[in-house]
Amino acid sequence: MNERYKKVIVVLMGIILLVLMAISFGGRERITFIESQLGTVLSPIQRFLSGIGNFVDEKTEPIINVLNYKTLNEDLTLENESLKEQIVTLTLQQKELKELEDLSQSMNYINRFGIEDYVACNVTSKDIGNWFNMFTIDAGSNQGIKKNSTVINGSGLVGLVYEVGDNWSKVISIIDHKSAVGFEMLRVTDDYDGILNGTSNYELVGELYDPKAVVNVNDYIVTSGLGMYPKGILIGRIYEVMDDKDLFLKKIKVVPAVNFKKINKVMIIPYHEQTETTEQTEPPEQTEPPEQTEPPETTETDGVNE
Amino acid sequence: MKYRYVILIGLANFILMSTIFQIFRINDALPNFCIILSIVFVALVSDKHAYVYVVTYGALQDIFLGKILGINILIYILIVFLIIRLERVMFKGNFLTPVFLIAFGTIFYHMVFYIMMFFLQSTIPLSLLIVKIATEIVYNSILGLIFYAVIFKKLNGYKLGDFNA
Repeated sequence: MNERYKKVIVVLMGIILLVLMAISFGGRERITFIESQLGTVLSPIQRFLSGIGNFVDEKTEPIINVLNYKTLNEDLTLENESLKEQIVTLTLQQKELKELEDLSQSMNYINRFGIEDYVACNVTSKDIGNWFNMFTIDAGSNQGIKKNSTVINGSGLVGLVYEVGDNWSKVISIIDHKSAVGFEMLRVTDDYDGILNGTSNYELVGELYDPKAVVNVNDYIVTSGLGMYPKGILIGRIYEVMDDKDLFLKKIKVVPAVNFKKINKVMIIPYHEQTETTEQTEPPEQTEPPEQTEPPETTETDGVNE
Repeated sequence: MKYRYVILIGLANFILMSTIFQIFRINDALPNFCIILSIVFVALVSDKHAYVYVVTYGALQDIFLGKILGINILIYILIVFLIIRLERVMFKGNFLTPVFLIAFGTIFYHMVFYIMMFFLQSTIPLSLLIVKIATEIVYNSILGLIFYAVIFKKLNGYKLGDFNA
């Protein structure tokens, strides 16, 4: 009887947990009060211990990697040479960009993709399982973080905010399986689009929409602005190009720009779904009859106001 | 042992694993202390302690670092449920017992996780994770054996595998 009772409890628990799993699948819009408060209490402890872990990691890394320094130096020398060549080209492009920026300012163009309101925060804990690459950060809804906000660091795109607490958030990285990112080539011309997926193995696999696209190994790719991520964030570098003859698609393998094993600090770009929609609806209201009748006057006043 | 201490062990274990113990990754794999300690609890303390421990640890893992709420709690409960039945027919004083149970627990965890992810259409090809899983099995077994041997000696007063005791 006692054994039967235990089995019934396990089955009941199983059913409750399965229902819980179904509810929470895909991330919840709001987490419960208990979870949020628990995170608020644990977050400082985790931040402190993560700090110790990172410190130990930083100090021991040079000793562990001492044998790799020769190769690393050679790679850096080569990279340095190619970067010097790039500086010349980029300086010329920068001049052109400055001219274009002046022009856009004079035409009252609103930069919708400007990353100015980001929130900087620390990584407090990292995944303890071996299936995903999730981590928590010490910023939540109180700091203006929303679900689906973009997470970046100094190197490039890191991931997406999955669930948000009051003072902490859960982040899912782009290298996780099934996390899709729209991308385009980092080029002046021929910027082909496509979609990338994580593989859970610190690499990304993508497909280009154009089967005749010309892509090369070592080309850099950035976010295209399609989907959740803002446009123009560095994703990584292509290291393999494959032709899928069955699907008539060009596939690429990408090394992420971010070193996911060493993420300690990140920046969050809050998700602006509402602001974008209002911006889209505003222009027709402003440019109704007066602009049609007197176009030169309206442009002039806009410019003065700015 | 009081249950509140078990909850505290679960909490401390989760905090340490998610922060400072990240530096002990081998082949990008971390050992699963929940499986290790739940087996130690089942074999050397009591079944109830094991259930309390896995629910605490699993809940924390699901809340803070899980994609789906409840998945880890469910798998850990199933592992404890099966380990209790396996442990009854095994000799606790043999060093192969913890190695077998921990290896079984780790394989079972990944197998059930894979099946659940398959039904939730979020599965990852096992070929991508095979190195990590194999590393975790070896890592868990070695650490588990050490933990088991230390706690066994403390509770029984003689060494694990000392058949003359």
